[in-house]
Amino acid sequence: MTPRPNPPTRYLPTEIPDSAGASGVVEVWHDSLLDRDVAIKWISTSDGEEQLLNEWQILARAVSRHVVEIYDLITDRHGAMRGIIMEYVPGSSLADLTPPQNADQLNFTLRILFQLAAGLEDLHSNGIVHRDVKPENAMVTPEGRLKICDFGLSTAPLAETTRARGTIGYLAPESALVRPATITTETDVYAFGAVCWKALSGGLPPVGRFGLPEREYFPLPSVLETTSLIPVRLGHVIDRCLSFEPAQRPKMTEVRIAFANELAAGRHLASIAIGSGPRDLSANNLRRRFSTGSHVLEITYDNYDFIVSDVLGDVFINNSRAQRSQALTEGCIITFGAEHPNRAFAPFRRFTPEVVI
Amino acid sequence: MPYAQGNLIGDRYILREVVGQGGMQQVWKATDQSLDRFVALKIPFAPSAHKRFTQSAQLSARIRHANVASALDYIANETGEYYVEELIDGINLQYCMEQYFPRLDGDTAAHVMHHLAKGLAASHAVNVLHRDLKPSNIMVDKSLSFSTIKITDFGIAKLAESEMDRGTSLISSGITQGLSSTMLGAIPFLAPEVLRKNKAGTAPVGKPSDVWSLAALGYWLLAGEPPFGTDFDAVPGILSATPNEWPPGIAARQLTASLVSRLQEIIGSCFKLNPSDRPTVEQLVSELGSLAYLSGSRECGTITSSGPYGGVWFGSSDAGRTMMFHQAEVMAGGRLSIGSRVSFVATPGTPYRRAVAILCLR
Repeated sequence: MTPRPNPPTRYLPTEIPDSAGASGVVEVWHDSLLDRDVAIKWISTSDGEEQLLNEWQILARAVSRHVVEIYDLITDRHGAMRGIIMEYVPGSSLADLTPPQNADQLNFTLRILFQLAAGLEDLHSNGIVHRDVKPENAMVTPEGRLKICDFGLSTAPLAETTRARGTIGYLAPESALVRPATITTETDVYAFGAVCWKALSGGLPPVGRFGLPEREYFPLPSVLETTSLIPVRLGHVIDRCLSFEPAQRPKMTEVRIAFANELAAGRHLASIAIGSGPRDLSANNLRRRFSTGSHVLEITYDNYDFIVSDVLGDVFINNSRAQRSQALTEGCIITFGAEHPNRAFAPFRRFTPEVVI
Repeated sequence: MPYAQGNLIGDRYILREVVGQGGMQQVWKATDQSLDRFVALKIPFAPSAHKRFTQSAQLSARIRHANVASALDYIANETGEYYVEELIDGINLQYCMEQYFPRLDGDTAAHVMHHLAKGLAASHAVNVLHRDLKPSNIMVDKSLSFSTIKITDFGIAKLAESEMDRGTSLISSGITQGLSSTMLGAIPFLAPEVLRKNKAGTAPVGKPSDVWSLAALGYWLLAGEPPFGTDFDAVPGILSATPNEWPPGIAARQLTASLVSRLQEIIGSCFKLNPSDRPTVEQLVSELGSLAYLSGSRECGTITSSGPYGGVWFGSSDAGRTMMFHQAEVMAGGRLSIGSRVSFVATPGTPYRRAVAILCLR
């Protein structure tokens, strides 16, 4: 290849050390016009050029608050692409995060993983599979904001590939074992599950002798066995991400909601408009019984959901007979009594503290 | 120099159409040829404001947050100066409310305020003030889902400082003539120390001035009218820090009554004459973060037929799904009828999804 071109003159060198990536080096330069630092990712191999080309196309159309921003491209005098100028995320990567030792640290880690889940959800809904989800590709600012980077392997789902791509330890069984492999969003979900293992326990799931997933190692032990800090509900969702069969893994939307619910655990609120005004349920008011005549409904808050804990007579939730241990949805109508017009209606609402990063 | 569609700027951006016009600058939708995407390109009217325009671009570039429009590029060449920003395919909050919403419900107002407070906290953390936080400087998505909320024009007030100073000195001397419409529109959201800037005994303009403006925005969203009145009428109330009584019926007997009263307390706590008596934006973030509310994306739809019982209606979401509506779920606006345009949050239900937190659109 021809020698590397210089970046445009508006960019000045900085003292910040370079970092080496799979296909090239990342340098930090200073944009003198906007007075801010930027990252310039250079490629050194011809294989790298293909990846870089791929990366800018993905970055320019990825709409997510959890993906690094791209500012410009650098081409050499032959018109070949040599570098990408993009957002510099100061701080470290998810790989530098130490496993949580207490509830505060756990909360911090869950907020980080929530953002990774939300970012992957955004990518998947934009028709992008990242294909190399790992802690090193998730930058974390000192304020705890996460940005996904390194889209060199990313592609649309359902493409076929004969080359195993990704990183050992985060590689889904179908990518490692099957040839040719079909690229799906489920491979990202698997890698996300492995990232959770790493971030929460410090180790990777035991999948096989060389870090390559082998059939007989599945189902894997639960992440809950690694540390008692992990909330049980969330642990089960992480375990499902690491299912051998792609179809058994949850979608990223479900995963993101599970993390949001965990971050809001014990802080939900429910309100029922009945009688003279709204009645609330929350951590301070775990259980309430509501009745009109002989029709009774008792609701209990379990830190995540509002659950029917007792029913007497005819009580309906959204036209279906109320069942014990049924969770009430975000907004539903509760009906006491079966016969019109001797029926009473009570709207129910569930409120969740919003996770805004 | 007048700009026209098709002009090439900085050998990279092609102007497409004017998407916004403020007192100080023109905003174009442009094609970024290098990266094959659309961007917003801002051109200042006054070429003399060179230093200030550079400064405001650099201030904006310091802030990186999902609730603040991202700075992408800055160009200075022989034809002028240009600031390139993320293009938000949306509408400003002023237009959004004037065109569609008489007011917002407690859930949506809390959601919008929470996101704005987060964006403002990110800017205050790097010591950047907005100075002119008002509805026309906030962008939301066209679909009215409120999933995109972004503050724009950080530091633009610094750019407009001389005009602002002239305006505020006219206002505090009780003169209404000669005020630009931009200035008039900004008044209801300005803090007292901004209105009385440079007068003896006035506190300096600072972070608490933005906090006041954010609270005024929150009041306006929830009440459907600004806290101290419109245009020049707002001045006496601002200078004495006495907001109008909340309009009656905002929370009466609704499921969100306790949420609304918490929001009213938070907003009220910011209207303090002495800036140091106001909460910081970080404190606002933590107050708003402790509130539980419905934050699901809003959808729009139309009522198409009446249901079997009083108060029950059926309709169709703009995405084409049949929905069940109930008058008791209407949080703002009048009575439902066939043809009503509504905004709502969809929740599961059989046989049809249920609309909750319904807002009747204008």
